[in-house]
Amino acid sequence: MDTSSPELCLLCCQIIGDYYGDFYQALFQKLTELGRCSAQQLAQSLHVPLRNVKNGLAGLVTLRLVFHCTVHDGPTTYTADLRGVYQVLRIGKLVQLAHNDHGSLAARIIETACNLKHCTLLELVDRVSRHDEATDESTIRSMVQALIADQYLINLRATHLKATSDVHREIESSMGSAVARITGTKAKIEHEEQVRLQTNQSLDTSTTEYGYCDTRGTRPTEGDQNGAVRAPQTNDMRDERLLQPNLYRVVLHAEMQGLRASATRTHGSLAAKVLVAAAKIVANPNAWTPSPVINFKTKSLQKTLVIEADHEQSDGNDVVMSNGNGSLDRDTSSVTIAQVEASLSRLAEGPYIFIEHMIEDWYIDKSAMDKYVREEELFKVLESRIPQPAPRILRILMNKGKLEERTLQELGLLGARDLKQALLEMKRLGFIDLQEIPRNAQRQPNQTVFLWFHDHERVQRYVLEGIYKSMTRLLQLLDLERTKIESTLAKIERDDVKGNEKQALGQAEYAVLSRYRKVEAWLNTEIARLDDSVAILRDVPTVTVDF
Amino acid sequence: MSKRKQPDSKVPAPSMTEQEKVLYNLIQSKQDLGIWSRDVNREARLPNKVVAKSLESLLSRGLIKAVAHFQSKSRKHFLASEFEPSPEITGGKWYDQGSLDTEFVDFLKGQCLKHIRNLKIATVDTVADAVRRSRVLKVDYSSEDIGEIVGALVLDNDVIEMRSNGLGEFAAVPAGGACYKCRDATKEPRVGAMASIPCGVCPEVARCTPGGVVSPATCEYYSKWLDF
Repeated sequence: MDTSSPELCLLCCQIIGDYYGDFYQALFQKLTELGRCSAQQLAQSLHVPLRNVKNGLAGLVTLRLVFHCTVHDGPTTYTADLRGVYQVLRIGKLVQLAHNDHGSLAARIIETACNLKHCTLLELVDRVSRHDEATDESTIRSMVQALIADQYLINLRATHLKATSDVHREIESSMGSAVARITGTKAKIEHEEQVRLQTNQSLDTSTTEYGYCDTRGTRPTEGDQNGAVRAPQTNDMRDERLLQPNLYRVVLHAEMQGLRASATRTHGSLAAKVLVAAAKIVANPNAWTPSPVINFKTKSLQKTLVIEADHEQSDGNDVVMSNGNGSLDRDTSSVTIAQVEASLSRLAEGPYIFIEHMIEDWYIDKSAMDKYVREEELFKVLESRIPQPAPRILRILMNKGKLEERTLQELGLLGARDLKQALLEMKRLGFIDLQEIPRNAQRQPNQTVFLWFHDHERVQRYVLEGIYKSMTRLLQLLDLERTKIESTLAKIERDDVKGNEKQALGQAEYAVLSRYRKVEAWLNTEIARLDDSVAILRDVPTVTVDF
Repeated sequence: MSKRKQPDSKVPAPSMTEQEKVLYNLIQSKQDLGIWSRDVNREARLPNKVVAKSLESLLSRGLIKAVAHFQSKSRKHFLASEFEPSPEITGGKWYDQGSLDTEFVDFLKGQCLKHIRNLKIATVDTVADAVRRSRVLKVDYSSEDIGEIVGALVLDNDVIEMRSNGLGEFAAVPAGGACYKCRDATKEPRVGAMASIPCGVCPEVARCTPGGVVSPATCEYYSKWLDF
């Protein structure tokens, strides 16, 4: 994650203010301004007593919104966890996904886990059963086991509570004097790769660290040098196992939705279902373990589709309708292997070039699939802001690289005036840029070559900044709307009014409250849609440490 | 192929000065590509005034003609009268008097899209055949020309380019051959999340700050957007 993004910092401050109050917001805002600092520095900057700052920081650390770094020979320092704060917006989506996949009990479990941020298995079961006395503990445990198997709940490791830069530094310091002896570019690259791999290993949620995180002081079990034990996900149901909700599932869901929408437009809904089912085989909900190219057989994919269809039917979601191509959209409960094979063949021929067929197996290149989804999302943003021929120009530049205006005109079959207007508008919005290459030292315009180009990473950052800003404005707007009817909102919190608003409030006041609820729902929906774009553009491709 | 008229034996060859002959031979040697006015001075190695006067004389006698380059109207190419200018100067079949004929290109794109939709899976050759059979065009266009139009449709995301595997619906196309299919136009167009909120299309978004002149509290677009 780009921690230097000012708009993301503002968004995170707004989220903290909305969810946790003004004091936490002030603390967090100062932290984002100062970067890494101690409690004393914060207290001095904010002109607030040190005790209050420490209490506030303790709250933020407990809520996993701030990292702390304690060293033997220095003060404890604190860093804002922008990722952790942003994830607060995704809690509702994760709960909804768990509800869709496993039912209402799963939703309650996930909601409890999100409120607790992280907890032991025993604490989770205990908390859920306290609020849901009708459900017995064994049922809750079974559901927790299912959620762990489906990676809605993942292991917590000590490194998850530290800033990424601190984890890096610890790994480098553990390498000791070997680091000082590294010379040469190739050796440095290898060293960085080694550090990256070790960092990913230390963050890998498929392992546990009973020796470190075990609150009951049990003896650490046999494992690697870090004390990590590769515990089977579903079978290990010890009470002291530390768990946290896996918000990366929301990112995966957004990616699957993007693939589904794209494939439905190109090949119809059956092919879209086949593609999504195949992509789910490859997609790894463990954010810190990159997915390699994975193969699968048509038969196993067909079985997955039938199971999914049965699941949908049992939820009453099965609807048979036309897919717009004039043919009936069949539910996948009766899909045959031949149909799956045909769908995969069609998908592989274009434009889903990340699917390949070799003898009996099908392969999906996950990184190519991520790139495809990301580009589709970027074009979606561009097409909604500038009409043709801007997307055409962008595709040419992405395929061909840097081009002169004349070459663009020939390749794109564009008129000179239309091309110029589109180029200037795209430059103004930041989608493309212009490079000057002077032919001589005098740098005269008529002796200079002007090349238009598209810097994908920079454009992505620019688009993300715009999305963050829009999300901040929506939250601020929601806050304004809330402030307008503050007294009414306070009134409906009363025990005698709660659940009985229509009778307790006057007609006019109730109409105002209804309008506010509609506005709140609408704004939250738009924020969720923007979050889908953020998930695809920012979180999907980067399955390494810096995200 | 460049066209060359046979000289008429009944018409006496016009008399030319030595300099005019040099220039005429130089221009004629370039055939249909012609020669840029700036290059004439360099290659003829004659004084500029002589070159200018000679060219004027050749033009007035109709022995050579001046054609504007399609990418730069001020850039003139001189050709011998018997040659038709090459597409590299005129821009090709899609250009009319130095400008891209956008109406014609759009019309042709619509025709190609219609034929691809009818054919379900089409190659450039099948589309070109379909366009020819429909007789909507007075001039015959080659498969390469139609290929350029189909390429523009791919860039506009109206059509998907695929590789045939020779099976099923691709049976008519040799395996490995490029073919094209329409995207489903009946589906709702994809709309980015930014398009559905005022901030996504606001021209003042860069100036917007809370408490500023342009702010969420004073935003007119949001007031109208939330007015329901």
